[in-house]
Amino acid sequence: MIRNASSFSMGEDGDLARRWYIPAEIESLRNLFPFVLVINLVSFWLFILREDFDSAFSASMQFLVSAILLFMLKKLDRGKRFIRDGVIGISGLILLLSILQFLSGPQITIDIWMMLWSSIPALWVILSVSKPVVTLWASGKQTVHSAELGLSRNRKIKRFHGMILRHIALLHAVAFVVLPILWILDVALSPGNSLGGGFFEIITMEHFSNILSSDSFWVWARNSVIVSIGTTMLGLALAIPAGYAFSRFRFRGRDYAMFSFLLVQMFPGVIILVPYFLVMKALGLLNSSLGLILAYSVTALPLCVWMLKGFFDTVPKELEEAALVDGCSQNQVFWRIILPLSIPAVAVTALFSFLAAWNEFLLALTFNTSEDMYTLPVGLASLISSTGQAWGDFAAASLLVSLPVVILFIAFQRFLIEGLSAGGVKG
Amino acid sequence: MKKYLVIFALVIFCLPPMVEASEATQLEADGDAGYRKVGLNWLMNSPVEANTTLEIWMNESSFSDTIDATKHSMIRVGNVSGLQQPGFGEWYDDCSYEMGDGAYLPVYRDSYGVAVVPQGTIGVNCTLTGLPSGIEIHLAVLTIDADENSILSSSIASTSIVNDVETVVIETSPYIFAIGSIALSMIALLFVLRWMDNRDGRNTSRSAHFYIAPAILALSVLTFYPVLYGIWLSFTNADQSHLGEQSFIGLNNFLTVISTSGFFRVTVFTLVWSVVNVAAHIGFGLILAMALNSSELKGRSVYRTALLLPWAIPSYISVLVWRGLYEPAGALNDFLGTNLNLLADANGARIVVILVNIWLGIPFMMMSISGALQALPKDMYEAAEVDGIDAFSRFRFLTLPNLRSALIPLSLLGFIWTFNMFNVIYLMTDGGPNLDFDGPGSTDILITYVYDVAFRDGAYGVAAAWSVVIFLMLVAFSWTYMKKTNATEAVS
Amino acid sequence: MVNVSFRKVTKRYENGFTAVNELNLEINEGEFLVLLGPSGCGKSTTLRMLAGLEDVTEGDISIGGARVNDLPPGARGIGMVFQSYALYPHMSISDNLSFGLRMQKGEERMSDEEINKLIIETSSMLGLSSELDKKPKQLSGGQRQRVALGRALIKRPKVLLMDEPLSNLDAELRQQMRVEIRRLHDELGMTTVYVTHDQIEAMTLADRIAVLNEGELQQHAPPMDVYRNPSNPFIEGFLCDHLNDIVETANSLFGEEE
Repeated sequence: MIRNASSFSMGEDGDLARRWYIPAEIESLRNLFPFVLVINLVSFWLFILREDFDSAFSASMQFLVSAILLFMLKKLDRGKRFIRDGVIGISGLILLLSILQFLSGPQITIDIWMMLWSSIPALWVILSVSKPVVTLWASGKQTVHSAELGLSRNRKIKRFHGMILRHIALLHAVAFVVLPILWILDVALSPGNSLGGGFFEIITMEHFSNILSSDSFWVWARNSVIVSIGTTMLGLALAIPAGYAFSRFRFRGRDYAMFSFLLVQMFPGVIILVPYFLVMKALGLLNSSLGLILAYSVTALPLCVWMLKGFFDTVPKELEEAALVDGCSQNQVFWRIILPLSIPAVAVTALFSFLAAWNEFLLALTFNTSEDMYTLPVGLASLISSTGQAWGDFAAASLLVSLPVVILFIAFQRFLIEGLSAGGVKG
Repeated sequence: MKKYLVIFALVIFCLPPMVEASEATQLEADGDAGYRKVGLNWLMNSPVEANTTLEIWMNESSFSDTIDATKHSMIRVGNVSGLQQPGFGEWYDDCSYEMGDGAYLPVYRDSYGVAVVPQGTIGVNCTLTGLPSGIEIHLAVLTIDADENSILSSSIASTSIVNDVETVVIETSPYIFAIGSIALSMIALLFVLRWMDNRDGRNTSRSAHFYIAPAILALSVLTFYPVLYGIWLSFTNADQSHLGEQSFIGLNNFLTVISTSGFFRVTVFTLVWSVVNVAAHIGFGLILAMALNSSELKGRSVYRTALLLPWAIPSYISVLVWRGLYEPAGALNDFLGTNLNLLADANGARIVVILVNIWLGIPFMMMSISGALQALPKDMYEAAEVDGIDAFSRFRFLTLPNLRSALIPLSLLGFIWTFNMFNVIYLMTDGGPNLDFDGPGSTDILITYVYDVAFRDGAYGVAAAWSVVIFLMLVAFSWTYMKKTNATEAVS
Repeated sequence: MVNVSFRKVTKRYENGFTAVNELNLEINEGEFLVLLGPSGCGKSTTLRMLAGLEDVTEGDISIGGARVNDLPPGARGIGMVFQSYALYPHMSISDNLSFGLRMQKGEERMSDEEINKLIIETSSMLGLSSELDKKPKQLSGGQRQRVALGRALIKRPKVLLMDEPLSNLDAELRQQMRVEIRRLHDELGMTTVYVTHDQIEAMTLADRIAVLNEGELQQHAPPMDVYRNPSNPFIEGFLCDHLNDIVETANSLFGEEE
């Protein structure tokens, strides 16, 4: 019943090393080339959009040749020297194609990017595969000692390659994210309202001074500030006791109440927009700050209660129990002990409510239709209505409005995320 | 007076070749017809024949060709037997026709909601709705006869009133009554619960009900009540002209909803929009979370901060910025070396709005998945290394299955949020480019169209019915999704 | 069945801290070696270097005469039991046991029937036959520990590594499992390297004990030799005095009754 033979048969000394060793460069190239193929496809599609069919054809050729190269890389193994030579040849071809294609096109930034993605991998293939290390491996004449050396080299190189891959992926993502931001900065600083043109050629502050000196901007800002602060205060006043109660007390109806908060959070207010509007209209709360404050407080309420409950759950019960034993009433415990302790959590929740109200667009658009009651979101959007497009001023205003928001968000991101996951999604 | 002379002259000149088609003449426009409404009135120079179509076209400046204008609505001439004939005020655009005896009767409506008049009609009177206010609108009527000959009347200008002052005043008291009764009943409920707890001897949480009272009250009055009111509204004919005295009309609004041309199209697009977005958010979020998941990564916090920006920047700003980028004169064309006008084409616009929403939504997914990744037990990976499992298989067989329990509620949440994502569509394209004026545009999702129905057309009852339909769709979807993935364990 | 040897093996971290310093250790074929020492003495680090989970800064580790420093863990023919068991939480017990076998590629991959046979053999050897379809969270601590052991044993490794496997169990279970582990070793005959800080486990399980302190090997000998002839005061205090205290306490509690 006992098997003595092992599935890892160890033949002669070091056979293991030889069998397991693949140069790290080959492994990394095999992992890289699928991405190269994807970029080739993207290039092809881009040339089609440009209606440059010659380049599109050459891009499709590149795709084909790169696919063949990938296939050959996968088949490359010990003792397959002729494949290795073929690999070098094909990479040279790709390199040539890529440079020719680049030279025949407009050579703007994106063309440089496409060229780098097709030529650098090809170059790297040529350089790696001609290395003595790899040549030795491919020839099948690898000795035990060199295999072991290879393995130790592999470890460091693999880690290095892995890091490079991560950086490449992240850099591309960051470029995608940052592109609009750089552009809006350019529009804000360029004269006039043109959207294209040179990048940071002429710098002017005219849009900033336009916005800062325009009355409407300050009216919108004032409205936003009033509404956001009101929302925060009302929201906290409602959420703090509720969060505390859910955390500490067991009472009849607790589960139903918690479920109803969860339910409300799941179905956004857009669905009740129409009745909301009519109710506010009937109560005369349209075009007022109070209407928005009421609506926003309730929209943010479930999330605030959730975050605060999560925080209160982390306050040790013993603290309160000690105070109760000392003779404090429940209310005194709440006001004198718990509240002061919870200032950081309350601050984060307050920030969250403030930002939610500050950034909200739909309800503000619907409720406050007269210009003097616009909040910042609606006001900014009106700068680019279909009649009259003040892109420059809009850009400047966007930067002014976004900057504090982004800074606050980034500074408190850790708390926000912890707060959200304490009660929410992760469960 | 001059208008009539010009038209008269045109008619004389054009009469010989156009003797077969009836032409709309003697157009009159009235900008004071109401909130965003213009009344349009015209006569035909001869009774209209069957299979003729009358189209109402509009533009902000005068025009002589339909290329420069947008179609508002149309009226068919044909067999009206068996068709509904809604009374005045029962439809958004009130139209009526006369056969030469001066008596105006309401037009018929076919199953698509298109107006139909019998042949032999001489005059038409319409109150057009949904028109922008405060600017001059030029209107014309295009006659297309059975032989496909078309003739455009000359256009007439009108300005709808500037103030948008609504003509109907709502009574406040029913609402106060409703709110008051809800509030009082919640308070009563809380007291009863508290009394029941007391009776059962559970004294440790005596003040609990007081603590949650304000929040529960706010929630009931400002959320549950509007929901119930909305449901009730969907069964009434509430709209601009009937506010405050709306009457119960049963399931009519729902029939309207289902029979709107484009109902199927907008639902399908909303589904496609949601699914593609959530898949992309989770896919890219996962890739980026994995890339960031190494403690040895240099500049890790810089990367993470940069990648959070789409979430940090207010979404309306980001969307408008992207809109600027996608304009033909915008930087995207410069950057790619192309000359595209994506937003002008239906499919191009759809792709663009999806891309923008993907940009917006990745950071949230990335952070959530990051948190879930870090919660995974680390030692199981070492055990897998000892078992000889390679890196990709470790990802596929260890990471992914264990992330599933976090990904399921995340994807459901993402789906619901995306399904109702108003800002992107409204600010990017406002649902356009429009295929025709009624009905949803090519990039409308359900809720942007609801917004149009409610606030452009003023049809509150119908809009409420739409909202109920959307809500039911979401409930149905969530239910089946949770059942299929057993997600309830994960959420609680 | 193979021997394991450490030649001048050193582990130094980037901040200069040396966890293991020039360790020379020869483990015979089929031997049960216990690495004993207080927390932070480098015993776990040594084990992990042998497993391939930590890099070796200097020196050579060989299994069966072949240098394995840079071989990936899966290539070394080892099985490992982790302190926290490290089971795959989303897989059934039989999948946990066979995951490594099923993921093998190429010529070395066994057929599904062979794998199933192994699963049945191993699970009955460890008393897990009735739990095969359950998930880890449905099992008790002791059962989970046996699954971890099964997973390491199912591929009939040449060297079995165990990192404080019994420390999360209560005293009675610990006693039972000690006996089990020694019995399995005797039946299957593989070389076993066992890390612990518990002196009793070391004394009862080991063929030889290697005592480590602050990264240095203190003594390497059979248990009774170490107890009777400790080679330095540290071992005296750590092992001998500790054991003597236990005996004295036991005597004072129970001795009078005899």
